[in-house]
Amino acid sequence: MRLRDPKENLQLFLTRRCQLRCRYCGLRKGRADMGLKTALLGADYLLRSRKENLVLEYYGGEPLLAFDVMAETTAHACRRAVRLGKEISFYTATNGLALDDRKLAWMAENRFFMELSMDGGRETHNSQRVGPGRGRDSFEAVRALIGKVRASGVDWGVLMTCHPSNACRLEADFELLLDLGVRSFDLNYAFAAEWTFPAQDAYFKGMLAAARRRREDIAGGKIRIGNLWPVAEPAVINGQLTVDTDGTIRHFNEWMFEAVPAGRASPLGFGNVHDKSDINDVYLGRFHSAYGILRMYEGAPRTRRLILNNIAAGYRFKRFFTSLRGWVDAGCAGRFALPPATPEWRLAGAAGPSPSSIMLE
Amino acid sequence: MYHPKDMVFLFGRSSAEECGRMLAAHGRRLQKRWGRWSLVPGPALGIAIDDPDFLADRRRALKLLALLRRPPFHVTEMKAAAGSLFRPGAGGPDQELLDALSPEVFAPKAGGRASGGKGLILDAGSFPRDLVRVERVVSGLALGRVPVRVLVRLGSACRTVEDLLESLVGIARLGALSGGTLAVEALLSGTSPRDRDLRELRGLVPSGGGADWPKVLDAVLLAALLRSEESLLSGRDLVRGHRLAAAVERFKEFQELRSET
Repeated sequence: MRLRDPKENLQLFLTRRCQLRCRYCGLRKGRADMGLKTALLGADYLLRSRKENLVLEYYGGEPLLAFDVMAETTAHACRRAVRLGKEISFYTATNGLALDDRKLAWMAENRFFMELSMDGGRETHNSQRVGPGRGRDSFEAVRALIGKVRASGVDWGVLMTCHPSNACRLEADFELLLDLGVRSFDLNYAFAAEWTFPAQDAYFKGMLAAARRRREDIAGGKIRIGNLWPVAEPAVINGQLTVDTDGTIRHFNEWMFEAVPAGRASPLGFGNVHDKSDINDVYLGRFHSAYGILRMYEGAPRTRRLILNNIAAGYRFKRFFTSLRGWVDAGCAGRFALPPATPEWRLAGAAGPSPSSIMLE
Repeated sequence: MYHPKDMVFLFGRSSAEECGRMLAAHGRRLQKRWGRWSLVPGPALGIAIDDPDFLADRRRALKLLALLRRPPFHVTEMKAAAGSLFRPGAGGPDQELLDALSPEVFAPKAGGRASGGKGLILDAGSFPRDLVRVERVVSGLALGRVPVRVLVRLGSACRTVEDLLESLVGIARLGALSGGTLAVEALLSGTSPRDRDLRELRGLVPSGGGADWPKVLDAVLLAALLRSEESLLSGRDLVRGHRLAAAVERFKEFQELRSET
């Protein structure tokens, strides 16, 4: 069987270790690391894709805690890509705490796009991104790195995850990161948190105000907001594939809720990179992503409600950013209407009033 | 400027001999209009048979198709009910008739280009189970060389969400079976269903052709799954929730329908 449109990117889950214990992170932390052999097989698994342009992504935990495996896997993937006549590039998301000049220089040489997890100002960032011990100022630790990152030549940006409790500060947080020299943003909304309509509206208000203030730089490409380009929403069912530390191939978002033990194993099975699994055989659309994760939490109605809420919010975020792009392209002129209520809102199970219809004149 | 077009024939109850005489008369008119055969533009030699029961008269169909394999004419469009390609009492497709629907019937003779007609238009009927018959018919055709378009009616016979999903699975299977050489059009006919779920899920189905049918099936299954979850978790309508969940369970495996070959 040769499926149409095989995957072109793959995430390697290098380690479950992390220096932080972020409150919005649903991942169970631990000591499990991906062995080098598994990582190399993961890269080979991706390189068997019939697609020509591939992206290998390193996640964790904190992937830079497994830097040696990352470096050897990258070198291996580059060599094989040349032999196969394919293009490959690399991505990693990091909390920055293990970042140093050597790693930055290496990433700059190896076609990496690196995203620093940075949620905004000190209050916002530290409200969620906390260490296992007390008193760690994780905001300051990342802020102190930015000059070094900017000077390194690596292609970089920030992964700005917004928790509903911080949505009201989004505009201020965005401005603060701009002041620090950030010019590339990918905005996430925290999973496994309930996105009520008022929280969504607060997020949209903040983003609209920021976009209006910076419209020329956004339209001119000086500020990049990844969400303004087509993204796979709802993100919680975006069908991304990940290789676990033991080589099991899983749906990425199975992890997002695992802080709550699932009642069942995932009904989706994609094999293991140690067996004869072929990425060209994998079909993982939005239905199967949702089916898999909902069935895993069959006995956990609260988690299933959160999953439904995150899916419904994802539809609305997608419509918002699609409209925002058109609005920015048109010079932010005229009224901006928020996405209208659709049947999906019924699934949100969100508290609070219905979404606003018009936000800005 | 004159643009020659294909001639539409409604043969009705005419015999094979009468149909042959109609075609011969048409040929003489073309010859008179253009002076000689070699000057007749290719598109003017195309004929469309706008008669869904044309193949039901088997003897006539075999004779005329044999005639149309040879120059000068070619078929641009031919409507056929899928059932008319089954041999009565035999329980299976009429292979002799399927063989007679050969690529030569639809190929322009005299080196002309294909006119862009729809080829063989198979009316699949309205019931999801009819698609199984269409699948058997399509398997017997020289797909890829005979242009085939299947019309599926998602109308009043589609009474439940399960019916809708069964039809979409059937459509996607046809696409997978043909390796993409088959065009499938859905016709959303009939009155709007009273059942809210069916009405709204049917709204996700694009009318016409050109859709990525496994993608449509994915979207409808996802919407049905989310509705069932919402019903079950809210406790507002458990019967509805279980009904939708059962439909989702029945049709959840369709990955192979995205296969290329």
